[in-house]
Amino acid sequence: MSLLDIQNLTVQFGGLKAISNVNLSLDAGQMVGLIGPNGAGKTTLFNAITGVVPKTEGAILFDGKDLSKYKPNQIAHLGISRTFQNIRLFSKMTAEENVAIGINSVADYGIISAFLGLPDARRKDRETKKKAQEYLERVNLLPYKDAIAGSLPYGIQRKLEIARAIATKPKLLLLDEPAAGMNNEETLELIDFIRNIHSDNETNMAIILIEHHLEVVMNLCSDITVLNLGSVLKKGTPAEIQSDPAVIKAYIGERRKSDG
Amino acid sequence: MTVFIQQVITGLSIGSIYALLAVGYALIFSIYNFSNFAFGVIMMVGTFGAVYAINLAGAPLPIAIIVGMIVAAGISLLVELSTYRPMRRKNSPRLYLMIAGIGVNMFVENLAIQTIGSSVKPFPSNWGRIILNIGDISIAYADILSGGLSVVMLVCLWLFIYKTKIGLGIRASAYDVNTTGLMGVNVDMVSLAVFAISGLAAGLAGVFYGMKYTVYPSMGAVSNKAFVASVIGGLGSLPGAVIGGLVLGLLETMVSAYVSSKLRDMIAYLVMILILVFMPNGLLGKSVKDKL
Amino acid sequence: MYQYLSGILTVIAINITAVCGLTILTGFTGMFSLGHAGFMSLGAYASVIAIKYWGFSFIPAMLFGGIVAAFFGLLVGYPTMKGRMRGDTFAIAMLGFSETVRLALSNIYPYINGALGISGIPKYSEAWLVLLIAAVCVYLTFRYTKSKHGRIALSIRDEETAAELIGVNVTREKVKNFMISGFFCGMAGCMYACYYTFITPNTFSATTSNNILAAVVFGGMGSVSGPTIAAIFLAMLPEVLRVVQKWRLVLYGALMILVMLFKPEGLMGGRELFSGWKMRAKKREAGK
Repeated sequence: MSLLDIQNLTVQFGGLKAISNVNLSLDAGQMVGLIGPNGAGKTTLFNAITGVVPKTEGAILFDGKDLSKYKPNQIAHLGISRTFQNIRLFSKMTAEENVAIGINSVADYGIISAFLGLPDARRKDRETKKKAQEYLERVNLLPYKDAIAGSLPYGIQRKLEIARAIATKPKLLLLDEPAAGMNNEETLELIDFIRNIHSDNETNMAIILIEHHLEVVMNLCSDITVLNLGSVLKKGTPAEIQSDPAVIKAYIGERRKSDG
Repeated sequence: MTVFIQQVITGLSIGSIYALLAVGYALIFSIYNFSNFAFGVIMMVGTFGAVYAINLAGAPLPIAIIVGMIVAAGISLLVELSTYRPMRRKNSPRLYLMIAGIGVNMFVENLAIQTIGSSVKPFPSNWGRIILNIGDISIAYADILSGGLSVVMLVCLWLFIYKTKIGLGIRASAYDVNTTGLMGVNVDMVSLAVFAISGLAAGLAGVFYGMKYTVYPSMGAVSNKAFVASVIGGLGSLPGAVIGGLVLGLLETMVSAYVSSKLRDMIAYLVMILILVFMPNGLLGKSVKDKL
Repeated sequence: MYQYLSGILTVIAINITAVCGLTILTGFTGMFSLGHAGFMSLGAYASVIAIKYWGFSFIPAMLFGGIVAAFFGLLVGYPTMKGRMRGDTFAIAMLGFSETVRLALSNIYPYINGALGISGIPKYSEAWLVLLIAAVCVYLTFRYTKSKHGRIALSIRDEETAAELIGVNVTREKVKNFMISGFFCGMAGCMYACYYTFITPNTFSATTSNNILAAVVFGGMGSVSGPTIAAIFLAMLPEVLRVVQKWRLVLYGALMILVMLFKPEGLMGGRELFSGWKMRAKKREAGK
C-alpha cells in the first residue's frame, strides 16, 4: 500500500480550479519532486494534504486514512510535516526552542506541573532540550542553538525550518521551495543536506520536494510530477522529464526569467 | 404601523451615521489590514471642530460641518504620518499598529477630558432638532440631513474610488499594497488619500451624531459600532460597510423599541458575535485567508 | 504613613496579579484583549457573593472568584477561538464582553443590587497578604511561561499557522490560556473588592482594561518580569507624582505611542530580568 495516495483531487476556490483531477502516489522512503511554473498549484497541493484548504473532489489517503477527516494539527501527528515558501520559523524564539516545539507540539505534562515547576516537568523539559540539541547537531546547526531564529542568516533559517520539521519524526516531509533565494554554493549545500536527512532517519521518511531550482530536483528525486495550471502535465524520471517537449514548453517562459 | 415607520426612520438615521463610520473604518482596513483604533478620537475631534467653529467663530451650520470634516481629516492624516506610516516602514506587526492606535485614542480622549471636561454638551445649533411632521410621523431635520448627506458622501466616495486615478490606486492597494507600490503607484499618495477620506467620513458622521444627540470627549466609543457594522457587512467590503451600518442602526432601534432599551448597546456586540460564528465573512465580505 | 504605604502596596499587588493574567494571554499567546476588566468584575462579584452570602473566607473566595471568571472564559473563549477570529475582531469582541458583563450586572437586583453596587465588603486585603499572593502569582506565571505550555503559546503568537501544522492544537491552547488569564484577573477583582470595600458594575471599566494592557505593552511581550515591573511602576505613578494624577491617562496614551514607535519590544525586550546574567554565565562556562 502506498504511503500517500492522492486520487482525482480537485481543489476549487470560487470559480478558480487551483487543482484539477490530480493523481499522485508515493511509497515510504521515496523522494519525489513536484515542479511546474508559478501558479501551477504546487503549494495548493501541499495545503490540501496538510488540511489547510478543503478539497472539492477526490481523496487524499495517508497510510490508508482519509485526510479530509482530520484537522491540520491532527494531520501533523499522523506523520506529515512541512516547510513553507516564505520561511515560517518562530522568529522570536531561539533555534533550539523552534526545534523543541517540533519534538513536543503537545506538552507532555499538565498545567499544574507547569505552574508549580514540579521536578517531573523540569526533567521532561531537560530531556526535550537535549533531544532538540541532538537534532541541531545532526544538521550542523548546534552552534546556533541560542540564537534568535529571526536574526539568523537566510540559509541557516531554511535549514532550521527543515530541522524543526524533521523533529516531529514525520513519515512524510513536504519541502516547499527550500532553495528559494539561494546562490549556487548554498544550493549545492542544500542538496547534500536534504540527501542526508533523507537517508538518515528513523521513519523511512518520504519527501515531496517543490522546487524551481531544477538541478536540486533532478539530482535528488527518483520520480518527478510536473503540474501546469492545476493538472498533471507529465510524470516520470528526471531524464524523461528533462527531455519532454510539453514540459519544456510549459517552462520556456519561466526558464528565461529565472536564468538571470 | 406609523410607530413602526417611525422606528424605521430612526433606525435608518442612526444607521446612516454608522454607515459613514463603517466606510471610513473599512477603507483603512481593506488596504492596510488593520483596525484603526484611533478612529474614534478622529471623529470626536472633528465634531468638536465643528462645535468651536460655531461657538467661537460664529460660523453658519454648513460651514461648521465642512470645518468638522476637514479637522477630522487633518487629525487622521496627522496620526497616519506621525505614527502608522513610520511603523509600516519599519515593518511593524499589525498588533503594534493597533496598540499604537489605542495609545492615540487614550491620549487624545483623555487630553480632551482634561482640557474640555468630560460632561456632555448639546450641539450648538438647534437647527437639527427642528421636527418636520408628515402626518403622524416626525422626522428631525438632522435625520434628513444625515440621511441625505450620507448618501451624497457615499456616492462621491464611490465616484472617487471607481472613477479617478487615485481611486484606482486605492482599489489596487486593497488587493496587495506591496505589489501596487512595486508597479509604480505612489503608495504614499494612496495612504494620504485613504486616511483623509476616512477622516472626512468620521467628521461628518460625528457632526450628525452630535446634532442628533450630544457632544462629549468620550463620544469616540460610538465608532466601535463602526467596527461591528463592518463585520456585519463583511470585513474588507465597502458596500458591505454601508449595508452593515444601516442594518445595525435598524436592529438597534427595533430592539430598543420592541424589546428593551437597555439592550441597545449590547445588541451590536451580540450581533457581531453571531455573525462571526455563523457567517464569518459577513453579508458581503471576502475571506482574507492567510496566504501560504 | 503606614496607612499610605500599605495602600500603595495593595494597589500594586492587585495590579500585578491582573497583569499576570494578561501577560499569559497577550504577551505569550499573542491575543490582544480590550476587555479584561470584565473578568475582574466577574471575579469580584463572585467572590463577594461567596463572602457575604456563603460565609467564605478571603482566600477561598478569591479562588472562587478566579474559577468563576475562568468558567466564563471557557464560555466566551471556546466559540471565539474555534472560529479563528482575527486579532482585532477579538479585541473588540472582548470590549463587547466587558460591556455585556457590566450591563448584565447592572440589571440583576437580587443579591447584588444591580447598578447601585455592593458595599460593606470586609477589608480582607491586607498589604502583606496581597503582596504575598501577587508574588506567588508572578512566580507561577513565570514557571508557566518557561514550561512547554508557555513555549507552545509563544509559537502560536509568532506563527500560528506553522504551529498548527507542526501539531499544536491551537484552539485548545488559546482557550486554555484565555481561561487562565481570566482566573488571574478574577482573583485580582476579589482583591480589589476586599480593599475598596465597595464595588459597582461600573468599577471595572475600559480604563481598567487599558491600564492592564499598558503594563503588558510597556513591560514587553514575551516577558514576565517586564510587565510586573511596569505594573508596579504604573500603580505607583499616581501616588508618586500627585500632579500627574489627573493627566495619568494622557501620559499612558502618549507613552504607548512612543513605546510602539521606538521600543515596541518594551522594557525588557521579551527577555526576563536575569536572563542577561544567565547568558553571561553560559558564555563563561563555554569559554572555560
